[in-house]
Amino acid sequence: MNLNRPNPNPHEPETAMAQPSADRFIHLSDDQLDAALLGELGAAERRHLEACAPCAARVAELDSALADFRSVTLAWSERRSATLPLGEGLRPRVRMARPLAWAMAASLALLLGLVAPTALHRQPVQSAAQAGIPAPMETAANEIPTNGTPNDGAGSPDEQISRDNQMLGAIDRELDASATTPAALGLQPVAAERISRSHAATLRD
Amino acid sequence: MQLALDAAMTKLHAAARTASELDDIDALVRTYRPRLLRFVAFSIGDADLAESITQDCFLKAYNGRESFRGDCSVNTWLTSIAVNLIRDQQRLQKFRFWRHARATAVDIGDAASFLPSHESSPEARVLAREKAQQVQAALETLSPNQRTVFLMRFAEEMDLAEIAAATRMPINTVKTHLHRALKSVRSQIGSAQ
Repeated sequence: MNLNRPNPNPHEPETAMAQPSADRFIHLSDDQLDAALLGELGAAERRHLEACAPCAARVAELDSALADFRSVTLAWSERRSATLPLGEGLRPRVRMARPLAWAMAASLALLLGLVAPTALHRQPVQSAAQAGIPAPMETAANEIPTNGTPNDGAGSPDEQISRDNQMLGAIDRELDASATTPAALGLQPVAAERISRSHAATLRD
Repeated sequence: MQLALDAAMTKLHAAARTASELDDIDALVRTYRPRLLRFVAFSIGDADLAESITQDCFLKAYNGRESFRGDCSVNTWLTSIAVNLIRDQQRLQKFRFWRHARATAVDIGDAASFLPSHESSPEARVLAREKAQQVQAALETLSPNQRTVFLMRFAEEMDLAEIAAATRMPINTVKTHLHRALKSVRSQIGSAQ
């Protein structure tokens, strides 16, 4: 630390402290004030600072301006930071971007899978109903009345249920009576010896 | 021997603790963003750009958290990433940097009203705002390196070794920038009063 010429006026720049122990009115230079703010002051200058009110006031003034800057700017940035999202804004870009996209695609596909058949299933019924054609396989429970007029053109719900039951019974009977044997299907029974002959011929070839 | 082993174990535990801290992105952002945002904002003078750079900083840190060895504090590490991003930005916008900054300049005019009221009176808060604005105005006249080390020392309260590590400058260079910055800020604050 340079201890040059005396500085009787603490507000005059470019002066330095000389023989601080001999003359307490020789004040710290600007460089020494900076050193004080940076915590780099030597022992002699520190002693002077403790004893000299004008020098202590100059350091305190600068220190206080810096402290105010620190607290005001932190208040500003805390306020501003509080309005921003936390890590959610980063996480999808970091790791979850691809899995999230796949999950969303899968959800959409599932949703379409659930909604599309229902929509397709309902569409012919509506168009048939509009055309005055009764839907053969539609049950009364699936027909949603609109505008408070239940089953337009289809009679009462009981009649509709009865017709449905009759139709289902007829289908069951038809299925039971249907041919299930090869002969009933018009196929000739294959003799066992014909099979073995055919097999032997294949082996010879 | 035992002491060396203990020290190694302590360092290992600290590194593991830090690694888990870096894994929690929400906690990382919550803890460090206000200070990092302040550092970036007052380094470049543009609030909107500072938000973007701070966001990039956390993204970069989170993606590169495996490379963090625990040699320095998380704050120093994040600040060093921010310094690099600011330098990149300054290189990209060399000529229109401060002109652009004027459009979305950092305005701390009303920030003093957010200071804890139990700590200061309304008059003291007005005075604090004025002093902070004087320092902010002085900051704009500094060179980028001077401003960086000044903010690190007097806003982030980092010591010289941490500043040297974050800026990758020799300590003597840091000291030189710091003394010049302080001299400039002090003279401007003095002339403003």
